[in-house]
Amino acid sequence: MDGRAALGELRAAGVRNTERQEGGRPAWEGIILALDPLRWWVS
Amino acid sequence: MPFVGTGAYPVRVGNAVRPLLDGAAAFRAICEAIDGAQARVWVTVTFLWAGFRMPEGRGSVFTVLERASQRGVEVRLLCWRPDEATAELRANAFWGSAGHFDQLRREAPGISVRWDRAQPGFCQHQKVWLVDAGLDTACAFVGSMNLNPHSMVAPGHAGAGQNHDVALAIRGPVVTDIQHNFVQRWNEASERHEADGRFGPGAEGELAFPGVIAAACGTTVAQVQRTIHAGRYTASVPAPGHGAFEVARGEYSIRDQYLEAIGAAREYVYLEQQAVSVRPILEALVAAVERGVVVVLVVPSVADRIHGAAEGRGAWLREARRVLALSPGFFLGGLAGCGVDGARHPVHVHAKLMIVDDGWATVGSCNLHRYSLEEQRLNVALADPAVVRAPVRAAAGISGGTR
Repeated sequence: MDGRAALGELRAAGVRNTERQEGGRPAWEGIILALDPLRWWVS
Repeated sequence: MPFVGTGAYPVRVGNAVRPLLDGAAAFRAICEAIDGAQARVWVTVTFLWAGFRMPEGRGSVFTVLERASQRGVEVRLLCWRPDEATAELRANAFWGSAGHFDQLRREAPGISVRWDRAQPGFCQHQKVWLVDAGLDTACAFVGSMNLNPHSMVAPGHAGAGQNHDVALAIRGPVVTDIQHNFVQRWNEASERHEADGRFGPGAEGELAFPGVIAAACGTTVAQVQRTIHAGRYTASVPAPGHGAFEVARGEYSIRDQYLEAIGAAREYVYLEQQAVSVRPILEALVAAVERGVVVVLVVPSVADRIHGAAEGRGAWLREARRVLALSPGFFLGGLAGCGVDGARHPVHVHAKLMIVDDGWATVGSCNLHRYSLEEQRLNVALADPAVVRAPVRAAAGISGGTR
């Protein structure tokens, strides 16, 4: 897997890890998270 | 990918470089190198906490260094001394208090220490370990780790309160330039003539600049790059095989390299940073996403950690971040670790890393906030696909580098 493909997986894993919830809590699946830049950065 | 010609050191071929992901792997490799040292161990330190311990029961950093000294190895430590403007950071630094001298007399009487200030309000922020400089077996470690318990962690970050760091283990010709940098700093360390500005048997002597380039031992092309504030050092002795460099005028090759590399990116830019608020670099990232380059920025997942004094200000910053935020090619990521309670805990991304287009990277101690490009930093830029892929793959959970 080249770096660009790895980045695609990283983005997908980040979204998956962030969105997945179990019983109202984030489920554990990996270490990368997707941050919402508009909320995290700009506001 | 272009390197830069604006610094003290040339591009050197024939290096062997190994990425070390997170502090436990890095400090283990550093300790193994120190334990095997034949002649000398030279270290530059920014932050050192009293409670820091080296891995696998080796004890404090002073225990490790004194053990080498007792074997006849010459051990030198260059430590940052904060000024009044940075006095609040003394709690995290080994700045030469009376207590620190007592600790040295007690734990490491055989090592030599000099203290070095930065420009007022700034920090001596090079984090380098150099073992057996001048010998064929010389190696160096360049990275971001501080000597505190938050750094002594492994990839996966199982636990709470963890930092994420990246370092490089390096052998070959660029080690000579890392040696040159240490000699320059040691010889002109600001506190060297002060009674409380040095410690130990070799603290009064000056060091000779290297005259021979370390032998090639690998295939990685690399360059040592720095930020050196104008007027901080004056000796313009050239690195071996390279022209003289007027260091008194300052060096900003890290900044130049970041801009060159982002400007040359064709496919992607991957960054791990505490913050990105340097205007020209943000503008370069905006230009990159606008021409179709994927930009992935991994930062501390708790934003408050970087919304402090180091952050930039102004409408331009908000606008640049808004453009990035709305770009489909931009991804802002954070890291989290799983605690013993099964809950997710934020990881503080403390690495200073950029990878471009699958073949080029820079790793070191240079943040990208408003202090970073004015104070003393050291990075190594390198071209080697095998080396640069490891951090991305580790963050994605695909496979790691050295663990």
